[in-house]
Amino acid sequence: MFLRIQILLLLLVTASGQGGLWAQLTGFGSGVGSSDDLPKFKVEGTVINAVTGEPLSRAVVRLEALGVPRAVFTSLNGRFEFSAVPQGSAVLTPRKPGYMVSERETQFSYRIAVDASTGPVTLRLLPQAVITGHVEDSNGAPIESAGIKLWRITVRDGRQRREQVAGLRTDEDGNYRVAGLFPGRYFIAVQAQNNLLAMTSTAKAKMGYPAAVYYPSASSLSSATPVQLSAGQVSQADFVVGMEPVFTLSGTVSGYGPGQIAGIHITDLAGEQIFPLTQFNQRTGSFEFRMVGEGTYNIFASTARNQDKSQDFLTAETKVNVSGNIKDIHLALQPGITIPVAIRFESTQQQPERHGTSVRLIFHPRDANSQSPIQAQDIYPTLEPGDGPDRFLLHNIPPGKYSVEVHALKGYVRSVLYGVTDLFRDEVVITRSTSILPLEIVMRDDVATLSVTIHSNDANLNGANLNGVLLLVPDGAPMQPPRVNYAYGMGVSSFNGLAPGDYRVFAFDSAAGIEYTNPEALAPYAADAVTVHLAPYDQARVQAEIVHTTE
Amino acid sequence: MMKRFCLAALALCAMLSAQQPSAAAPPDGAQFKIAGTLIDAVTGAPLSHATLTLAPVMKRDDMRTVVTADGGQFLFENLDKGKYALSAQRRGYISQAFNQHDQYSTSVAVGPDLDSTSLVFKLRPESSILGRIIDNYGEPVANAQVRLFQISVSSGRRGVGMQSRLVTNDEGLYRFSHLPPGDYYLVVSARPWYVEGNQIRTNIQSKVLQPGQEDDPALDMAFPVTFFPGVTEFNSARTIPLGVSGNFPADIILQPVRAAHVRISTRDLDPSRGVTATLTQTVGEMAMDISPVISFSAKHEIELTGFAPGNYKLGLSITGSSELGQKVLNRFGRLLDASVNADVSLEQSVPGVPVTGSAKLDSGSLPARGSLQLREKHTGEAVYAVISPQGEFEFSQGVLPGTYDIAVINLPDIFVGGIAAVEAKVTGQTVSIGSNPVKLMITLTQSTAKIDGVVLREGKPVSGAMILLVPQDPASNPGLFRRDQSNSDGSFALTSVLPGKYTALALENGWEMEWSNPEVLKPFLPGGEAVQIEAKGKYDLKLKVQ
Repeated sequence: MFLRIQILLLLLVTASGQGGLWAQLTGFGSGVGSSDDLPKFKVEGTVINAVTGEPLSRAVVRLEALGVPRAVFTSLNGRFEFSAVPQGSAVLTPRKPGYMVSERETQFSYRIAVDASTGPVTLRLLPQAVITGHVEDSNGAPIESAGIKLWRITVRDGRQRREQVAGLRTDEDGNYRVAGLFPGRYFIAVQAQNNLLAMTSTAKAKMGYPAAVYYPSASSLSSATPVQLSAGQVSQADFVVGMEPVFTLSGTVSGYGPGQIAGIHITDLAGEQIFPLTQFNQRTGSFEFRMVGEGTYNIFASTARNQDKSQDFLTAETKVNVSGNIKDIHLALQPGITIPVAIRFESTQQQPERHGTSVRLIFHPRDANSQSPIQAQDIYPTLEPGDGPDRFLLHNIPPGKYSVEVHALKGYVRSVLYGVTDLFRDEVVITRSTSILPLEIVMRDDVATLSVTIHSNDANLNGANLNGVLLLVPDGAPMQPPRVNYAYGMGVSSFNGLAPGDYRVFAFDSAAGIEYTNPEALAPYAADAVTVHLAPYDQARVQAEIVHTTE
Repeated sequence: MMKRFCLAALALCAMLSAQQPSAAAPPDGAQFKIAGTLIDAVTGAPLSHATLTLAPVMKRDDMRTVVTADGGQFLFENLDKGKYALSAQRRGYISQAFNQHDQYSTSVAVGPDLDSTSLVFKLRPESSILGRIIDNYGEPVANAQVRLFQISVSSGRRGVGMQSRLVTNDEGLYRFSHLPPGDYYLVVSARPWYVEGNQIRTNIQSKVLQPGQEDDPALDMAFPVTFFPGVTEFNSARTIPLGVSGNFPADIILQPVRAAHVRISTRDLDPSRGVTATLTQTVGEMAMDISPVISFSAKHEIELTGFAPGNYKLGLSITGSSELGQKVLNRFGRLLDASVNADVSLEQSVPGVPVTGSAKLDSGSLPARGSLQLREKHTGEAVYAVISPQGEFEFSQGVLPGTYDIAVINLPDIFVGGIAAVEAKVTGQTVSIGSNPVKLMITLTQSTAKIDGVVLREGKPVSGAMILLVPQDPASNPGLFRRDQSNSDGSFALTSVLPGKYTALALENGWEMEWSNPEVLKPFLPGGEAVQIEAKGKYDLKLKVQ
């Protein structure tokens, strides 16, 4: 669907540079001053259904100006009016049960400039989507109190993620309902509770409910079918959950000392924890999971992370293929991998500044068998001082494959190498088996600056009325995310601290839903990108045309 | 017998093991049976296809299950001599143990000369109360708090206790399931969706300074606490009677009224560091907490709104800075008659009396953690203080004047043995607190006695009778009562009995009796057995059922 975005930002800032913009934004809403001396203006408008365009009556519109909130109902034709609003800026927020402000619009919020030229404002509310369903057993009897989990595939910070958006239980009739959902792609799982007797029974042939059934009847998230919801859609997702043979997994955890507290848990391949009856003997390290259905799982053991870091954080992980009882699973706890980091500064200044720990690293796990709904947690290690002034250590990195994001807090990062692997271009595999290499980071301070002026084909949307999202994509560094700037009403936005080199600039009305860390996601817009070459110390300016994106 | 907690779990699980018939060969001497009929406790109709679970009282994990026949009959064969715990489960019924009352039930004794083959097991049907909460515009009220109170006799006292509470969904729907028969009150409290409630507003001053910029008055509304069938006066509230299985529909329309606004001066405290306020509306024995919308200004003033005018108890805690610059926490509690616009100063608060003291075991050692509970005899309100490793305690919020029952909690098998007090009158295990600071010296004890016995009528054992051990001066010693239920052979056991003089009663219809009222008990005391209990004693009693 092609959404024509309403530009509602009318910041009262003359286009004189970004200092003014920042003053306006940071000052916004924080000060509570007297408005007695300020001229007053009327603010009026309409609240509409974003899908049908129909006006929405009996919605509430909140207006906050100078820190003072006020609110009114809309009339039958969806109209609202605030009298005597002090000159300056204000934020409008519409509200109505069953409706939501779309994610594209919350990016900017409904900030408006209040002055003599303030015209009618159109506020759009998106009708909620709803998923309802019914869970029953193979005899057709409803399953009460079955756990329901709902995930949405979202894009945050340009990366696709799986976010749990609801967790609830079925009612007495086996029914559930989740309301207040945004349009999008959802996965649903049900976990029927196994009863206690079955869990503790000593009988040989055991039957139980599976750890999770993913909609419609998959045993894992990667084989599940997503439910696609559009705005206002009510969708039904029913489950039939049958009992199946269940098994006992047992074994031991070793490698922790008497002063350490170990723990154990089991997840499915999607990384979702399952909750079989679990026993773990802290003293002997023996563990047992009962009532685990057929399938492949990961078992994790770890020690509690203690505050003073006097002991290592130990972890172990093993994959099990369950088709019968499994004994003698062994998990040997080991410390996470410590990676030395060497930072070298190539200063062009006569007296270089001391930079200290001036980089930030983010490890994004990349599973080799990764499917899009499977996403492990990002790792944000802290740089700890090493054995030299420019030497540092990264602790507790689990073995795995990563794309590593590097940010300079001062200057820029010229290169990051792990052995011969260029982390700008390639993923890195970190294992215990090979020798650990240092991460070599080269930084420089001959930074460039780029100002981007955005404009639109729509003549009404130029100048102070224009806002958008700017992405600055460095060439030849696919592992590094683009730099992102928001241009609020100004039409001008600046990027500082840039490495010299070649870039492409994308200007979008909204980046919501665009997986912009993935070069393929930007490919459809390649023709709209502006290319720019920056030399050291350049202060370049370019113009970019706003591209309307769809969600 | 006293039911152990695991029984409930076993009943829950009975379904599954029913699929696996337990057909072990009868061991030698396993010649006895338990048999009977399962019926609906309300209609008397036989219940087929229900699952019954049986386990020896001394070996509760040795379970066997049967499914009732079309006429509700059940039969367990090849049983050893002994006592068995029996429980039943069926869809649409409350899972329960045989002849269960509160946490007590009747164990079935089998053996020579014992009839265990004509049991009548009454299973209570369960019902649902469900409905939709809407407002005066017919719009659903989402996130409404719906509370369900049941009128029942509990611990010998007829009262109204909260059974359950939940919130409505986005369609205004709620549903209480698995409710036992009885009489219920349904109470709804909610905030209109259009009232801004989820954020603390920081500036009432500027609102005041700018007349003509007030909210739309249609937004300054609140729903009064509303009772089924949609009334705001408790006198007009109706109870919901639940009996036979089914769904009781209870839709309620909430009518908004102009919200109350209560301004509170916080004196020298800067409230901006953190304020929490709770309003409690008490109707009869039902207490409803309501969260107000809190605004505060830099001028040491708080405004509470978002609730209907009425009488509330206000609990306020302010984390602020004193003149010395320290972070202090102040708590206030007072009754509030909140009209549409009320101003309150905290000086009007009724201060609690400082109550401190020490607790030690009669063996001389110090108790390991645990808490003391003071429960006001008339309001039923309880306050708690943690006992320190040094055996000291302090009721940090103070205690309002009143008469309190004292009990020790979170210390298994430890009881209050004796109380001495400075500036308070002690009667039995009750203390009367006036306006002066009180110091309490509590002696705790682990030295308890055990009473075994049998209930008889004309020499024959009586099953299912309530055994009640009544202390001297029962009004001042509610913590000394002990109870049990007789088994099918009339046997019972009372444990953790503190030394003293008691009268033991066996009451055939005691379960609905308000025995905590001494006047109710009086006529039965002459028919009981007087007994003097010494520490760590063991006693055997024969009681005549009344």
